[in-house]
Amino acid sequence: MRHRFADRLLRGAIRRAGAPGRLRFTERQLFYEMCRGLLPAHRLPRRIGFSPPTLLSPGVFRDAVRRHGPIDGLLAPAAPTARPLGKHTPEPDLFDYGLPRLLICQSHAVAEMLRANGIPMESACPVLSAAELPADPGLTRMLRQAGEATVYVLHDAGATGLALPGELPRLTDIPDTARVVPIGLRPAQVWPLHLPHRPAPAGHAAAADPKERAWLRRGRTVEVESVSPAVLLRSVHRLVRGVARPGTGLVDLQRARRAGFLTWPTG
Amino acid sequence: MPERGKDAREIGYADELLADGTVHRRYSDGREEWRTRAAGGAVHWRDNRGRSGVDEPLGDKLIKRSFSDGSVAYGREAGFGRTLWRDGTLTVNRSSFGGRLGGILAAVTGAVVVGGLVLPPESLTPQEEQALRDEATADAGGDGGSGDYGDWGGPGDDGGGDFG
Repeated sequence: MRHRFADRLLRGAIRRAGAPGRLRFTERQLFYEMCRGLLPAHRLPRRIGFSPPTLLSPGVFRDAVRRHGPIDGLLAPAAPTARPLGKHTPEPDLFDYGLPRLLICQSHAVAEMLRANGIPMESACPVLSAAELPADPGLTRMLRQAGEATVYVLHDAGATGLALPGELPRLTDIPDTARVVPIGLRPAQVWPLHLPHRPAPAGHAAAADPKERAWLRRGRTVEVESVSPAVLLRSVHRLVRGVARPGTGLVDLQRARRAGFLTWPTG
Repeated sequence: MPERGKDAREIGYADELLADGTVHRRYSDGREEWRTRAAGGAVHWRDNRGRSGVDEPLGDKLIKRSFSDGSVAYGREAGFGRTLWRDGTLTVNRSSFGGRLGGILAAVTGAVVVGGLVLPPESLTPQEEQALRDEATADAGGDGGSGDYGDWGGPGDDGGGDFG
C-alpha cells in the first residue's frame, strides 16, 4: 500500500519535472518534485511566505526510483572534470571575442542540468559550476574583452551559498571590469515560493537582512534544485538576460504616484 | 500655514526616449529639451532656445533646476507626474501613465488638487540643500540589502502556461 502510494507520487513527479517539452532534470529535482506531490505548498499564495520542512524521506524516494527502473529525462550525475575550451571549433580567434556574461552555479548538478537544457545557447551565457573553477584563462580574457561583463552566481539559500559571491575572486580570476551579481537563492526569495528547507550547519551571512539571519541561525538551507525545473530555467534566463516579467495587468498606483519631472521614460 | 499655488498655469510635456538613451522632451508652449542622465539622478539638459542647465533631485519632493547663467529655480513634485514651480507654473508629464492618471484625477477633483499644491521654496541655502540630499541617501540606504537579487518564480509557476 505504501509502495503503491510512493510509486504514484514518483510517476506524477516524473511527469511534472519534465514538463513542458521534455526537460532534463537531476535526481534532487525529481526528489523535490515528489515532495511537492506530497505537500503542494507551492500552490499557496505568495503573500504567505514560509519554507516548509522536507517531509519525504530520501530512503522512500530511492526505493521508489529503484522500483521504477529507467526514468526518461533524468540526468546521470557526472563528476566535475576540466572542460577543454574551444576544442569544438577550428576557429583560431575564438578567444579574441568579448563575452558579456558568465553564470557560475554552486552545485555541479545544477550546472549540468542548465547545460543539458541549453541555457548557454538560449541565454548566450556559458555555465560553469564552482567545482570547475578556476575558469580557463581564455574565458577570463573574453570577459575582459567585453568591457563591462557580468558574472552571475546561482547559489543555495544557506550560509555557504550566500558566501559564494564574495569568495568568487579567490576561486577564479575575474577581470576588474566585470561585476559579480548573485541572482539567488536567498531566504527572502525562497519564502514566497514555499520551497522546502533542509538542515544545514548554522552560519552567518553578511549579505542577509535580520529576518534572514535569524532563519539561517536556525541551521537551514534551501537548495536551488528545490525550484521546479521549468521555473528554474525561466528564472535564470530572465535574470541573466534582464528580461522584464510580464505585467500583472493591475494598475501600478505606487509608480504612477511617484512619476515626476525627473522620471525617465521606459520605452 | 504653508503657501499654496493659486491659478497655476499648466504646461504639459511629452518625453521620447531616443536610441542613445537620452530623452527629447517637448513642452506644450513650444519649448524642446534634450536631456541626458548623469550620476546621482541629476539630468543635464539643453533646449531649443540656447539655454542649458542641470536638474537635480533634492530629497524626495524638491527639484533644483540650475541654469547655465547661474540662476536657480525650485520645483516641488506633487505626484502623478505633476510638478509645481515657484513662478506658479504647473508642469505635467503627459507621456507617463502617472501623468495621464493625474490629469483625469485633476479633471474630476478640479481645483481641490491644483489649489492644494504646496509651492516650492523661493531659495535654499547650500546647507539646506545638502541636508535634503543627505536625507534622500539615508532613505535609500535602509533597504535591507536586497541588492541585485531579482524576484524568482511568478504567476503560473506551478508548471502551467506563462512562457511568453
